[in-house]
Amino acid sequence: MENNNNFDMEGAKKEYMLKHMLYAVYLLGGIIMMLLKFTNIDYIAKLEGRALVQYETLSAVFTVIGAVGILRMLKLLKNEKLLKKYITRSKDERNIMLSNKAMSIAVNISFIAALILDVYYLPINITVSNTIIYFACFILFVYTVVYFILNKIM
Amino acid sequence: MKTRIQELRKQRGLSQEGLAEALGVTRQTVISLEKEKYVASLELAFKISRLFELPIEEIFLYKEEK
Repeated sequence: MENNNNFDMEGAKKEYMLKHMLYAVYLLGGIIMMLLKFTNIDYIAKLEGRALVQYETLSAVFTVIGAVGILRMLKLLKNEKLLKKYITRSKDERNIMLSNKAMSIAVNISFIAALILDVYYLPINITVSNTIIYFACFILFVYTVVYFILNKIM
Repeated sequence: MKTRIQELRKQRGLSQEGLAEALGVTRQTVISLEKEKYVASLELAFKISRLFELPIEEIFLYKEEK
């Protein structure tokens, strides 16, 4: 019986690191946001009250996500057995199919929820209602563009 | 689609984990295949066929709709 165990560990490590470089972007983004707070640029000067709290929270969240992601990445790179399991899971065709289906269902649910909220807010606050419907249309537009592009290149 | 994956796996004394590792998939995928809840891709079907050294038609039993 043939055993398909040709696992390229070095190649897998490189691929894994590249894919998870996004965490470095999160971390850098969070740190830059924190540092910008000490500058006196126009954008920061205009932030006050809830907007400032939101800005600080976002910068903290990005920093934490980035730091945790990078630490997890380093831990996995040191443990080849765990790394192999992780990569097998991420490349598993059934998992990819489930992930795509879940994303598709999430987009549909979000769109329907947006329409319901839009109708609900219509008599209460027209600005909120408009924001919701514009956002829902934006999601649809992005989906259409991505679908068109993928259809052409595949 | 019916499959003989479980039967063939047991004949060769393989665990689900062992089969999963040999095929480069997760144990959950092997479970789903054996329960016939998931249809393998062409690539995976070929891997299974090579592993068991049997033609695809003897592992996956396609039932035509009438």
